[in-house]
Amino acid sequence: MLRFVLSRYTMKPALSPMQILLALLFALSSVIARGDTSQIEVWLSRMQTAAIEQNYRGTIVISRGNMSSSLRVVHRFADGVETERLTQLDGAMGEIIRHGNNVMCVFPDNRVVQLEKNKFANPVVKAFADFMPDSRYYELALLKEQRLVNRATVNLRVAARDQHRYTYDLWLDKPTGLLLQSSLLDANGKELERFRFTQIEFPDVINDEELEPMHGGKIVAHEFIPPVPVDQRWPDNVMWQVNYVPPGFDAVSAALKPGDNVMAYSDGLASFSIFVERVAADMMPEGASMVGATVAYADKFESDGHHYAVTVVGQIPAMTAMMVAESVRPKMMEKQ
Amino acid sequence: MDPRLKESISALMDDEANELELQRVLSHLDESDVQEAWQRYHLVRDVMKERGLDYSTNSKPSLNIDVTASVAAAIAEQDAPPAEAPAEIVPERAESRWRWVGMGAIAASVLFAAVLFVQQNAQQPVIPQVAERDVESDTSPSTAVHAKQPRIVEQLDASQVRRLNEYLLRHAEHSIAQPGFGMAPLARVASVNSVGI
Repeated sequence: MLRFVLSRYTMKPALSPMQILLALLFALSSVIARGDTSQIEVWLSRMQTAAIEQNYRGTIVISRGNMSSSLRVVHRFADGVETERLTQLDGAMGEIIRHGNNVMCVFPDNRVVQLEKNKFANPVVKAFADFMPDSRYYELALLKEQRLVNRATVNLRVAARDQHRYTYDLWLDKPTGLLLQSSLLDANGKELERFRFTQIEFPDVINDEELEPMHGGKIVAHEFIPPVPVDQRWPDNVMWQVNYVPPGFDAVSAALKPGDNVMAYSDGLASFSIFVERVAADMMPEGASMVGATVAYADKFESDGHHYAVTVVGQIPAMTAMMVAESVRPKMMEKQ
Repeated sequence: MDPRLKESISALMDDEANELELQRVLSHLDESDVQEAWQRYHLVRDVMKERGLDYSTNSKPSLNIDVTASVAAAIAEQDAPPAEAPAEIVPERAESRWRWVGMGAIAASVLFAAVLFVQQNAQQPVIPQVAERDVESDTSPSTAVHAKQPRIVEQLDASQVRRLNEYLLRHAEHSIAQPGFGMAPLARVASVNSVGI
């Protein structure tokens, strides 16, 4: 811009005032556009911090097509530890309780299933801690300011540049940066899934009682998610190879040795998991089962007389999930 | 294990056991599944009360048992030398732990919802239109030439819905390790569960 401003004083008579004005406007707009991108990045990093460090309680509605579901959310950050409780408000009551890295799902029938976050807290995952959508795969735009749930918000768009991921519309609370609404859109602009606070407050203090599960009755079972079952007849030197990974996705949990049959990939925003398991009677039907923006693509194949089932699950388009699933093939390692 | 026995253990832990329940528990204390249940219930209670969450430093033996098994499984899965083929032991042990007890209570709502979801999607299949947009910076050969369209599943029966839900939980386990969206991955699971598990 400076160059154009200076040129105003050294301009040749051939340039009309209008041309100069246009040149100035053009230069100015490119400066604004650059300013925009860094501003969006600031918002995105505020969003991350707020998700961890804010105290908040409210109600969330998740909609997929014309189905929706409400959840009560309480989130506390105290002494460096996040504690969170999600309670289903519709249908039977189930809850998810998170304390630091421990996540427990309390099902309506009082079964508890514990998720193991630590299991995947590897260096690759940590590298995503400073999440920023890669500009090769997502285009960032600051859309407008808008009032939502009685809060001033800024609306950002993280638009997919290719067919392998979805577009995210994000509405962030202006004072805190917290994500108040998000929409996942497919390549045709159709909304697949919406997550939205319908009520929210930011209390200074949240006491322990608010974070305790409300379930009635006694816990009947406490379980962990088991390893994905393999077939005992499979060769023990089988190593899984994912021959097609969409651009921009990196392994956050890779198959490192024979027998590893769960893999996870992420582009920092979208993620998918791959499970290779034995063929069982209650297998998902082959093809894509969709739940909002989440797809589970099931595929079966035979290799050297052995039967394998591959399932790809994630927030990616069905086509991409299919391409990944069909590319998973065994490679026999030399026995040691 | 006898459900009355389970109830008695629970009652005992909550200080609500009567003489009969106390006797019932005491007479079965030498059984391994009773001991296991006892430890599990304590673990759950402790987690609920936000105590003893740091398993690695907690010295209470009751907290370590169940976690040790899962950690061992995870370590076997990730760190065992290739020659050892941990798969032979791990899945079977885990499966015996993985009992989907009491599915009945939620199965009905699950089935209803999943069928609805799937049907709704079947009417308007969400299939990306590959030819419609130019895939810039994508050098993979398969994208441009992939003529095959994914088959969209229209119906799932109860056991398949259960499978789907297991996958969603497992995927969430990966997703929560990634920051950025705070509770969004969990909210997604919770919302699917309310109507979908």
